[in-house]
Amino acid sequence: MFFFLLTKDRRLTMGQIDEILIKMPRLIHFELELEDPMNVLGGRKWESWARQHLNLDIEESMDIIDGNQWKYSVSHLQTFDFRFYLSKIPSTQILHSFQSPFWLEQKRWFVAFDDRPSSRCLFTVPRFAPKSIIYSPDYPSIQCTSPELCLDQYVNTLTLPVLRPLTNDFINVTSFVLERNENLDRNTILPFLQLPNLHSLSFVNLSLLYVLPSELILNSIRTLNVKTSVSKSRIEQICIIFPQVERLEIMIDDNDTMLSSIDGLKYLSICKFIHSYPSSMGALKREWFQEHSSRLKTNDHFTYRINYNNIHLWMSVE
Amino acid sequence: MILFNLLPVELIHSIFRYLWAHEILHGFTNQSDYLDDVLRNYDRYAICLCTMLKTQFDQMCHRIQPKQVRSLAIMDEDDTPDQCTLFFSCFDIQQFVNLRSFAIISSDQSLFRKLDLLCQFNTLKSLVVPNVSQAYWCLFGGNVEMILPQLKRLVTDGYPLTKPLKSLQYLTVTHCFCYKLDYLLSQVVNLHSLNITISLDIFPLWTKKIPIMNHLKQLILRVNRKIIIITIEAF
Repeated sequence: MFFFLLTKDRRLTMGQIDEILIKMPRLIHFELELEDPMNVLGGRKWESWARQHLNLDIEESMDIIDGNQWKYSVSHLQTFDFRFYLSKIPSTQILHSFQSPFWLEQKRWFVAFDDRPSSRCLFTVPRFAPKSIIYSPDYPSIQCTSPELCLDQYVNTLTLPVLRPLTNDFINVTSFVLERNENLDRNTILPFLQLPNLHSLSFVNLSLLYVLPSELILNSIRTLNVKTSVSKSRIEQICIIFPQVERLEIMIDDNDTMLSSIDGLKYLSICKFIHSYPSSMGALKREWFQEHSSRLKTNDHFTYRINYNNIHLWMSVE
Repeated sequence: MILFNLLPVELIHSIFRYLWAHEILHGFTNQSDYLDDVLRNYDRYAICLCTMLKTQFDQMCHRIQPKQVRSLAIMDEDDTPDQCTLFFSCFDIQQFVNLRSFAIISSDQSLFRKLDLLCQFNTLKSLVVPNVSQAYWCLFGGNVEMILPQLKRLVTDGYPLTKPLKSLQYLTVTHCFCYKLDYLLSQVVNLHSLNITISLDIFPLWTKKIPIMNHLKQLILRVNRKIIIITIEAF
């Protein structure tokens, strides 16, 4: 039999924040983050138990999401950034109090509100502008007090859950994750692959390879993550389309496919192979790699680690 | 790169401050005699044993002199097997005589013993040890605790903050219960910058007990709202 001792914390109040700030008379930069209220210490088991059985109505101090209240506490600061996760849906006018001359003109501190249920929060931008976004058909879902500030420029990782056209200006995206590739269409997907700063690509099945124009070579891709098993003939195609890959993570069914990527991608340095049939891997020792890979035979500057069905290799390039 | 040959060395050095040693040596080697000369004479290299191409790693180990290194950070990366072992087969930790900053981000706590060896030089000003457990501090932390009073910057889970550290200016504490905050701050009254994650607990008056921090210019406060479930088995 078990007893449970439950401590339920409360949100930091405006009065407490004032008491902290008053002890720091020379403060000029202040950043405050209030994290997800549903964060259970004691493991996953307890988390699901707590979510089910505790009707957690954690006290929400509404004063800290009121821009007029803050005005008196932070007017002496040069920078003030915050991110508050909210458990309840506040009024739709949540940004209104952050649109006074104090916020917009005197301080030029801009606030945004992300109202997706999974990440509902109020935050200052650009400090807490989302870097990784899910580019669903209803994007953008973030309201902001500055009409000029374009949040798209802060995004570096773009995840595409369903196919949609690229209609935003993601000039700084470096990493593109294709989560489902059903019904891919060449003209819709190509603009994503041609984003100006893209160097990392991840996809879950090989249909992407079929829709790309046959002569296409993507020299900009340096990191490739293929979350599905790849045959030897497909890996040869991958080597042609992505000749500059330096980091590779890929699922394999046999050792030959692994050797083809090691020998076929001449800039490859950091790689992880996930073997679908670990029993057929055999005893992969250093000598095995040197014997079977023409590249590792001539250049033995490599290290490896095998962890059940994961094979890590770290190789020098001539 | 031609443009770089026209830049004064001070300007190139200030660009280097933003880059790790492996990036500098990979990007600027063999571009010109002038740049090679700048690389040879630069003495503020920051080494980070993190994910990097093997060629970058080899080049760094081949070209760098330990006395040119100011800062060493050790991460824990699965994707570069044996990186740390290879590094310490090229260099002995005690060769890094000009080291000012040492960071163990890795969960491999045995690296803490290297830090203990390093502490006899007395040159360290910055220490990043967020994952070192209390047990390791007790077993191997003797020399490290001796140098704590000279540090300017410290990143920790909170354990070593039991004595006054008057020189400390930049402190990051990865977790602290709010009732302990006043004690912790009373040890580091000269701080310029504090980055701390706290958990609220049942003590409501903790904010009233905080000491006056007259030098603090920057505060980064993260409030963790964990729900704590403690189970006690009944007999």
